[in-house]
Parts: sequence; structure tokens; C-alpha cells
Amino acid sequence: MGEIVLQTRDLTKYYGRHLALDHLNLKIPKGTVYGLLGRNGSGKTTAIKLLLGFLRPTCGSSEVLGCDSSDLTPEIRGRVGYVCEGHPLYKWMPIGTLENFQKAFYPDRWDKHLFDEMLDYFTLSRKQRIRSLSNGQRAQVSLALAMATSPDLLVMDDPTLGLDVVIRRQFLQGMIHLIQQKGKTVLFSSHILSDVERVADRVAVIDKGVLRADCTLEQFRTSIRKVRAERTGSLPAGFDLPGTLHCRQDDSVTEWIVVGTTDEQLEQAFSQAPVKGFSCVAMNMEDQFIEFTTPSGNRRLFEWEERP
Amino acid sequence: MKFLALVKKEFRECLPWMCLAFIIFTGFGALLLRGKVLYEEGRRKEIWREEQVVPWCTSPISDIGPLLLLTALGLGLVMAIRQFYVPAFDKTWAFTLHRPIRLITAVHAKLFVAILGLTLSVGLPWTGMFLYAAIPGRFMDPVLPKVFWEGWLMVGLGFILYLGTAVSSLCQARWYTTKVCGLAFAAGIIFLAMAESPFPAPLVLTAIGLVVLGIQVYALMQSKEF
Repeated sequence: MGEIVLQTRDLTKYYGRHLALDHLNLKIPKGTVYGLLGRNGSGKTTAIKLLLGFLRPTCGSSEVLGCDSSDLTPEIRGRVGYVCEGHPLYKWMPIGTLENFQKAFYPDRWDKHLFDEMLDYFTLSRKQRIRSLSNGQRAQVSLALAMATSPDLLVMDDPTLGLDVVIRRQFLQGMIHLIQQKGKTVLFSSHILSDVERVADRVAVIDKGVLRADCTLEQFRTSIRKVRAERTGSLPAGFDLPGTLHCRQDDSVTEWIVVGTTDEQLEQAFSQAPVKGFSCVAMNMEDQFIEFTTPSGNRRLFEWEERP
Repeated sequence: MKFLALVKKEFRECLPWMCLAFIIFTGFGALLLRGKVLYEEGRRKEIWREEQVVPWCTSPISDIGPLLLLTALGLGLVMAIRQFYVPAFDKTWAFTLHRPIRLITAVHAKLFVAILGLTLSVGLPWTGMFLYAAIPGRFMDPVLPKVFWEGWLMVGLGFILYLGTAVSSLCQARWYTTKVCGLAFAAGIIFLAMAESPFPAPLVLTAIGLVVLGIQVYALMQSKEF
């Protein structure tokens, strides 16, 4: 793992008695596009706000670009772009005024050329007031404002939430533009899996405040599998496949959702079971995510851990 | 540059309220002053004719006092709501604060604009009215310098209410618990300062209120979760 841009150590947050984030341990290397996945209320926004110092942890700590999150210096904040959830901007400002406002804080880093380019790409005019923009257009302005500050780290909290397919595609193209620049790190949360699949190279899954997966996208895609076996008799009591998340049975077929189970492990398990044969059924990422985060699933998937 | 950008933004957001306070205070103040001038002219004629004894007036511009106090308090309240309460509703705190500045710089910009707003909308018109009333020969009764400072004290009380509202807005407790403490403290200071008492006492009270509430604003901003 190269230079660590963002790190959390047992980061925990309670809202009153409600546990929003439970001992989160993350390490994000430089140059990574990191997708933070989770259902609504899973703790993604809390994690991001803790990282940027907008919330105080109940216990644990986090670091951004080597600086403790609870005491981020102006210099470090200047290197981190942030696209807030819902894209809240000053509604009374025209885009041009907002640009001047933002530019005043980044005299050395402001990339006017990129900002102009992005406005052109999104077909936005400087005269348009934020109040008159749609949700999608506000998202585009937010992204342009964050990217024009030439951030070393771009943090985006559910940036594509509520956007239509076309705007989402444009937004992601804009994001890819940043990613293509060398050494830039992106952390974004989302529950739109096609977006994550399109741009992320690492994913973390948070479920009810608990980190359930932290691995490469490739590993996530290949580790969660659906195994189908046709039975010839009833399975012995206690029979289970290694890494089973769920198991469904009908008259003659049993399906398992497994995590991190190798072909050898499957062959070995089925060798003594009354089955005709087994096959691995392809799953899309959405199905994988749903199976991985449904209430009965409690498996974890970490790159550095031994497979279950 | 960064501070100036924040000041410009805060100023623009409070500008409509500042203008409204200026129009209300200057408009009604001018009417009251005009009435006083007309009354004064009638009084001069009556004294000249020696027809009747005209009652002694305590101060030619004393009628403006309640208007000044109400306008200053109203503007202080509205500016604090705009600067500290509205960002929580439209969720712009994080957008404002996530930039290469210290948190305290954002607070200073807000406080600076509040002082500027009260000065421009209420303080300066008050000074203008006082100077107008103090022109020799304008009124028969003397315009005492003490009245001028009492007027500025009322502007200061507007700032006290601003700070009290800011404290209540920033406090994360519920309204029926400690959240009202800021407003209640400010109201207490205003009440005591306006109660009949020798002049230095209200000044001291206002100064104490400013220090206590100012410290609270800084402390709450440092500990607030956005």
C-alpha cells in the first residue's frame, strides 16, 4: 500500500444512544478512487463528516492528509475538495458570484480553465442563480466548484443522489476527468452501484455503522457468489458451505450465497453431499450488494483477512 | 482577501434587513423629529406672545429612544437568525466552513457584519438625528451629550440580542431546555440596562453581557457539530 491519504482508527460515533458508526478502520492510499457503499442510514455521511471534522467522534480518530480530522488546518482543508450531500449552495448567488466567492479562498489553486470547461460541458451560464437551478444542475455546479480548487483529495457525499441518468452520466464523466489526473484521490459515498462500478477501484461497505467489506472492486465482484446445487437427497444436518451468507431451498435445488469461498472449497464440500452437481450463477453488483447487506448476512470481506 | 470574501457574503445576506431597519428608523425618526420641530415652532410663538406657560421638555429627541431601541433589537435578532440559524436549515454550514480558513475567521466575519449593520442602519442615522437636533437654535431646550451615548447604548443592546440569539441558535440542546439560555440572558441584560438606573450601570451591564455572550458564541462554534 502506498502513501495513505486518509485513515481512520476505531472511529465511532453515537447520536445519543444510537450507534451510527462502530469502530471504523479504513485506509485509503493515494491515487485511489474509493467507493463507500451502504444503504440509507448506514453511516456513510457520518463517516465523511467525521473525516472532515464536522462531527466529533465518540471515540477513535481519523487523519486526512496526515492531519487529525478534529483539527484540520486551513492548509489541509485547502487540499481537500468536498461535495456535500444534497449540494447545498447559497441560493441567492448567481454562478459567477459563487465562482468569485470560491476563488477568493484558493488564489493559488483555482483552475479557471477547468471551471470554464466544466460550465461549458454542463451547459451552465454564470448568470444563472443557484435558486433557479435544478437539483442536477446544482450537483454539477458543486462538482465544478470542488474540482476547480485542484484538490489532492476529493470527498463526495452521495453526489449522484436524485439525479437522472443523463445528468448522472455527465457528473461521472466530470469525476473521471479528475481521476485521470495523476495522484488525485477520490472518496465518494453512494448507493447507486452502477456509478461505483463505473469509477471506483476500491470499495468499502458499511452496514448499520459497521464496516463489512474493504477490498478492491474486483475482489468484491469475484468473492460474492451464488452457488446452485441440484440435490439427490436431503442434505445432512448441519451441512453448510464455507462463507455462507444465505441459503434458500426448494424441492430439489438449493442456492447459497457465499463470500470468499474458493472453487476448491466448494468441490470439497459438495464431494460428500448428495448433489448431482453444482454451478456458480453470475450476479450483478446490485444483487451482490443486496445479498451482502440483507439483515441475515453478517459475513465480512477484507482484503487483508484470511478468507472464511 | 478570504475574510473580505466572507464579509461580502454575510453583508449581502443581511443587506435586505439592514435596509429595512434603516428605512424604518430613518423614516419614523424623521417624522418624529419633524413633529418635534413643528411643536417647537408653536412653542416659540406662544412664548413670544406670552399667552401661556409651555411645559418644559426633557429632551427634544427623547421620543426617538423607543424607536431606536426597537429597531436595534429587531435588526440584531434578524441578523443573528440569518447568520446562525438559517445555515442549519439550508445545510450550508459545511459548504461555508470547508475552505482554507480557520473557523474563527468565519465567526469574525459574521460579528463584523453584525456590528457594521447595526452601525450603518441604526447608529449612523441616530448620530445624524442627534447632530441635527444639537444645531444651536434648533430647539430651545438643550440636547445633552448624555442622550447621544444613551442612543448608542441602545445600539449596543441590539448587539446583545444578536449575540443571545446566536448562542441560542448554535446551542444543540432542545428549545425547552438550555437552548433558550442565550436569549433569556440577553433579555435580562436588556431589561436591567433599560430599567431606571444611574448611567454608568447600564454601560457596565452591557459590557458584561457582551463579554459573556461573546465567549459563548466562540465556545459554541468551536464545539458545534455541523
